[in-house]
Amino acid sequence: MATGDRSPIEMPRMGGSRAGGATRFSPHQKPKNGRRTFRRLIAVFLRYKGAVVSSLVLTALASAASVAVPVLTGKVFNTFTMTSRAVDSKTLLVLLAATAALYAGSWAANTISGVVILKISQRLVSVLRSEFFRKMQRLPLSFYDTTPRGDTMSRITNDVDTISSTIAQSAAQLVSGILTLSGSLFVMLSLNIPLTFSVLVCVPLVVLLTRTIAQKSRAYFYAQQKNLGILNGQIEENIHGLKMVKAFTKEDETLLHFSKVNRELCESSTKAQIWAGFMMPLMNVINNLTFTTAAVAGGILCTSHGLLIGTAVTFLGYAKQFVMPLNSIAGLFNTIQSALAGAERVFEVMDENEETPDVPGAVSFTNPQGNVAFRDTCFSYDKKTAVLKHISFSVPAGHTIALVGETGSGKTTIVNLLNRFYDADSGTITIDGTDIRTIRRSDLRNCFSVVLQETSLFSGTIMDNIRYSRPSASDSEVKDAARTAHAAEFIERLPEKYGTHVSGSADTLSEGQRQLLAIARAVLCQSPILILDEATSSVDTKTEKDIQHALVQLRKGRTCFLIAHRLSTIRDADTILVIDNGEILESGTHSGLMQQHGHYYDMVCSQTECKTAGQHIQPQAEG
Amino acid sequence: MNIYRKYIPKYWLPFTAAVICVAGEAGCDLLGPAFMSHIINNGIEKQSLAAVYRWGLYMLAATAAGALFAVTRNIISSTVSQHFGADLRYDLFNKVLRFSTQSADKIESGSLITRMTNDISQVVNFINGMMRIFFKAPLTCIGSMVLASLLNFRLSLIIYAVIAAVALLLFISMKLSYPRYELLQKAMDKVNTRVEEYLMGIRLVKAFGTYSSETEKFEKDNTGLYRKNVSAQIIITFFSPLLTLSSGCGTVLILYTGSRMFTAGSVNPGEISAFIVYMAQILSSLLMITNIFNNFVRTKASNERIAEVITMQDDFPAAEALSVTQAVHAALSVSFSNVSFAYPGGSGTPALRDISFSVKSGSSLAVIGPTGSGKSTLAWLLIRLYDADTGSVMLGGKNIRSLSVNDVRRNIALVPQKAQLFSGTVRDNITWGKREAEEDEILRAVHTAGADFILTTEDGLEAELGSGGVNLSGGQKQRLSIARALIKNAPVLVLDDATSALDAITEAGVRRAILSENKNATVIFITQRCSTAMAADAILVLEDGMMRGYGTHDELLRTCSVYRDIFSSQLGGLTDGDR
Repeated sequence: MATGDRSPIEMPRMGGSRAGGATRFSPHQKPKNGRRTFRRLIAVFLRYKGAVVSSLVLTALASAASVAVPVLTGKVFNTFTMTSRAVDSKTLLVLLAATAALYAGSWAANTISGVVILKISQRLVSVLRSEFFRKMQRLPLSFYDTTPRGDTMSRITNDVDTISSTIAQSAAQLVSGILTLSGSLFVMLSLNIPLTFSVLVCVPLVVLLTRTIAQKSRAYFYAQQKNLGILNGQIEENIHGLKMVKAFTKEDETLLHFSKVNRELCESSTKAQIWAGFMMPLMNVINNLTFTTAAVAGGILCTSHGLLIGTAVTFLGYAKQFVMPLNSIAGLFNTIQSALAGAERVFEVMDENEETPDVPGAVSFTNPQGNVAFRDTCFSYDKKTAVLKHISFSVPAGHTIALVGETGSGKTTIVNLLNRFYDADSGTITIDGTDIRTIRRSDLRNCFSVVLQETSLFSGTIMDNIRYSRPSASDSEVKDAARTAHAAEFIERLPEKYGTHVSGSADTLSEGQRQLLAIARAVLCQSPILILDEATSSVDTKTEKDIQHALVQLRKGRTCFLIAHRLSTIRDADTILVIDNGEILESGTHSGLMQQHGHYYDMVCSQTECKTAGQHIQPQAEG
Repeated sequence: MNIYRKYIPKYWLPFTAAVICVAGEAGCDLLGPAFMSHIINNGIEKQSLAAVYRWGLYMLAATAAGALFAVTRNIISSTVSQHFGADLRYDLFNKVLRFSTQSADKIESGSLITRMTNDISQVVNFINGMMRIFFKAPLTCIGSMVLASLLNFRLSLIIYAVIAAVALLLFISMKLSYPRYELLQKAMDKVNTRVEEYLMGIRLVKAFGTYSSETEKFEKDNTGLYRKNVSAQIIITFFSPLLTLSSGCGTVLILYTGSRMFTAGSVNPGEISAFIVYMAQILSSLLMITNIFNNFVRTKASNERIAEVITMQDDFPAAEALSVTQAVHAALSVSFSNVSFAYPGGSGTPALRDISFSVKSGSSLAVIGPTGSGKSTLAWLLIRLYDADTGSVMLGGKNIRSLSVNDVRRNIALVPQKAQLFSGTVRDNITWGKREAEEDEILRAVHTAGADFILTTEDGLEAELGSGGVNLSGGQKQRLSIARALIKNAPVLVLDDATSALDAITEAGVRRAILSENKNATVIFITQRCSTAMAADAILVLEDGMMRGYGTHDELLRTCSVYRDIFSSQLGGLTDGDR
């Protein structure tokens, strides 16, 4: 079940291109700047200059052989003398040997060029993919925040694939198609001009057919695409919201909506299919027609104008093999176009602005203490609405600072700036008095350990996942960290304990358990600044209390940034900053702020309903 | 295949007609070379222009008939396959809507969506193909053999030999390829997962600066994929030219043997050239058959996945529907007695154990407890998304098993933990709860739910929401979802942690408004916050699926340690000294 759910691999396929079928009429992506992308792509392929050239030469040789075969078979028939039933066996044997040699030669050429093309195209995919991945390493976080994950995914998988395999293969097909056609045309013209025209009858017919179908089907394909989009949207939404559909007993209404779009889709896709479906059978009809005209014209010329029978047979051979390359060349242009569009999508990412590199002369920063200061810092994500407005504060090493405020007030942004996920628009941020923009990124990263709102796990064992923050840690250090983070209890209950396999997407662990792992990760990392962004929001209050105890240990000797929704978890911070709308409203200790009876006091009250329940609060309720 | 049995009566006639047309078309294709050999034998060889014209005319007629067949079968097959697809999609969607929740839980929603989209189109393409090329290729293959045998049996032996060789080559290459393609799929999945995880954990990667180890892991998977790709495709790269070579050898052999037979007078040049054409036709139809086979393998998988959906268990039947007598605005009481429940397919540990409580009509209850304590399960059982394993759930004094499912659900308005909105306007979403709602009803619900913010936006109620309400914040979605439930005006209102994304001040306002606006309704708050729980007439404390306490706030503070723990941990530092 799992394997079929995404991007299935193209199954083995023998001979022939995929371009000839009905799919080529369905709307496909077009490159925005085809010419430039094409040139760039050529440059990419030219990295394998020798291989590309030799495979193209081999392809050309193979097509020359396929052009020559009908000539030879035709000549065979000329060795037959009808009246005496005699055969010029000497010439015949020479001709047959030549034909066999041609087949063998084209076999060798095709095999070698096939292997070469396969190897370079796959090598190229692999290289492009790894360049893409390295590029991803250098992209700033803002790229990831603004680009949907699925989009980037499909660029590095499907689009990269399309570039190399499609283009390499269709280029070879295009070369062989064009060579076969022009070679056949040349041979035919040199053999007999009137008969050539009887074969060329097919050209206007093929053009006419392709044009008409493309024209007639376009509107239906767009309608089909549109309806399919709507329908898939409906399916997705209702399946995700199935419990709600049931809770509101909306089954019938939903079905009614669905059936309306479904009917429209059926109508447009039937028409689109009918038009596009004419392509292959009618192409076959044109093929048969060409065969017929060649046979009749050849018959007439042989009987009344003294044409050799062998020439007629040669033409029949060409008539059979003329229409299909014509068709596939027309299809290939579309394939190459959509491949170019794919290439463009890959290059787009390759050209993205990278993270600001370390300034020249960036200082190496060893043995950080953890004094953090923000001075007059402003920031905006879209450069229009300010998210942080002139924020200034400082935290001495070893102190804990808590950031509180409503969703969207800018708490997480402060952390994003400190990490240098983003650079501040104005103002400075310093660690131990050094502007973080002058510190090498790799050194800066060693200053922090973070526990984020959403916990990411990577495929691997629990042990690997905790060790992520400090790959050099020993097994016992990892286990100690897990114990400190209170993660050890649930890990010990897992069937394979620390060896249990987890993955990023599968939900074998609850959100709370994932967060415990993330905390263990932070424990293991020995950096001087600890950032906890809503780190305990998904664990229940009891576990949270346990973690709080662990965190007290963890916080000792480290500068700590706490962001929390539940105010109860931050009350022992050295400083509490109340952030609202990008500004610092209040700052102070818990008791200091409570006495101020300001915004913080209101927040605490509404969370505990102290106005109505105040009388129940007993000193022993303190944790 | 028997899931498709019901479609046979509707489509067998056009289907058969299409298949007949395909057969006719294949026949016409085959007649071409046969007539052509007559042109050579009777026309050219005997110098008879009349014979050339006559057989030429026959060829033309065959081509025309072929065109007619082709056009007809194309129209029929497109129409049939698309209509069949629409029917199948409709039936499947209908099935999904009537799924029991147990069934829905069994298949991941992502997978369900792929089944409804990709898998159906795969099956439709296959059915379409069956009326097109799938019949034609074998027919052409067999027909060519038969006609060649009729034309000249001795010469046709060469064709048989070539076919045998080609078939053997195809068989071997398939046999070698398939397992390699499976490995390739796995390698592909590995790379996909790697990239997906990287993208999901990008913040972490950046925070810990683990670039080199990430690159190393990726390189390993990427190289693996390269190897698997080459090893899978190399087979065909080798075999494909071999096929052309063997048919080429066949051609040379036919020409040679033909010339020997020609001198003996047992074959004519026209027949020899017809044989060469048949040879080409057989080769191309054999290639086609391999593609059909691939298609079949893939369709079989899709088919199984669709069948799995079709055969899923339906929702509880609307049994002898006793209806709950329901006057407008009348409240209904709710009670659970000795209810235990474990999620089917779950770990087996019960989500609820021996739960009993009752809420009098018009009063309110709060259910509080840590995550995973079974709070939401209570709500699911109440609206009968699942049936309790033991014990009974009563609504208005009647066991909900004796009521029709729809009747139960119509009488309960649920605000879920995750606000699930649908694409459409804000108005569409709110009136989801009650289609015929009046304007002032809508405004009242919006106001009570604290969702007035929506009225101040440019388009107000007519604002379009993206799929799932993507353009709203979590808290905004929750408030719209509350309004949607309020407008339903059901006797029982269940709020399942429905205000978790609101800040405390807004939340308190919404809660008060709900209680004062719905004085007559029975209200159940499921919550993690004590401040919410205190507002209810009674509080039920759950932990690990078991009842730890039941009573008012004051009673519980005195008697229930679990509650006291929750309360004190949420209390913040509100000591006497603070005020």
